[in-house]
Amino acid sequence: MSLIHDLRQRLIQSPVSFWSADAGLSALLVSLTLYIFIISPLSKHYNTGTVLDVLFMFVLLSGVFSASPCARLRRLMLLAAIPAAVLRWVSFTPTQTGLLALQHGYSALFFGMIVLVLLVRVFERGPKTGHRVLAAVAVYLMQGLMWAALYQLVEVILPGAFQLPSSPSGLPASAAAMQSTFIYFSFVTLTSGAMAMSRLWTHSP
Amino acid sequence: MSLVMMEALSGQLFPAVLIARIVALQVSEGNDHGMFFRVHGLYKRSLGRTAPAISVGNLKKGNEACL
Repeated sequence: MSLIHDLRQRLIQSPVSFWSADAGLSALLVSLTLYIFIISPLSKHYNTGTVLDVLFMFVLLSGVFSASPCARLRRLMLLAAIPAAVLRWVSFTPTQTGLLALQHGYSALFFGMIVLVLLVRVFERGPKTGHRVLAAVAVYLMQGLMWAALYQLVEVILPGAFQLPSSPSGLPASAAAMQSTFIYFSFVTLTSGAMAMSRLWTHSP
Repeated sequence: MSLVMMEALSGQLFPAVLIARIVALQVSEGNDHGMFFRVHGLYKRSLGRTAPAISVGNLKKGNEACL
């Protein structure tokens, strides 16, 4: 009860700092965990497109609110977050490469901005707090999403740059399943540093 | 250098840099409850000497040799 009372007091006293520290980072981590580790892997077997889109919105919103208490930075991040969210809800055919590239490009830009802003908070001078650790975990997870969006951008611009595993049914994979594949390989690379990813490899010059 | 290589590099470096930074913050915090001073006190005691009560607050010129 005292914890809830304490949180309520902080919310009443300073809503901006509450969302930029306490609740914002926790909401960001929860939505990131659900997005990356639970819903996204299910998209290969179930139709999770709408749930993924809703979770993506939560990630965007909590990212904008938790990254920085500075209003100017938030407005800057919204400039990338709004097009990323709008383009996410619009369904494209695979032939609309320009719009698909914009969608993935804005997502990568937004995740990159959040990663940079949170990195500054993680590495700045000051006491070691739980928020610093939460922000560090969020940075790591967001890096994975940023690289996955970049890979998707490369795949749209240069079709065939990646050797993607074919679906068992032989039908073309859905957008959510494709994204799940890219997120999986992105996190494999990020966590293991494995360079011998023969199934997913960009053409290097 | 491909995108995959850059990602692998950043993924391996980030945890290492983060741990180094957190340890640096802990050491530079400089209070009596810090890890460095606890280890330092144990080291002194293992040498059979009485460890002086060291804190940055009472560290004056000429006493740096204690550390």
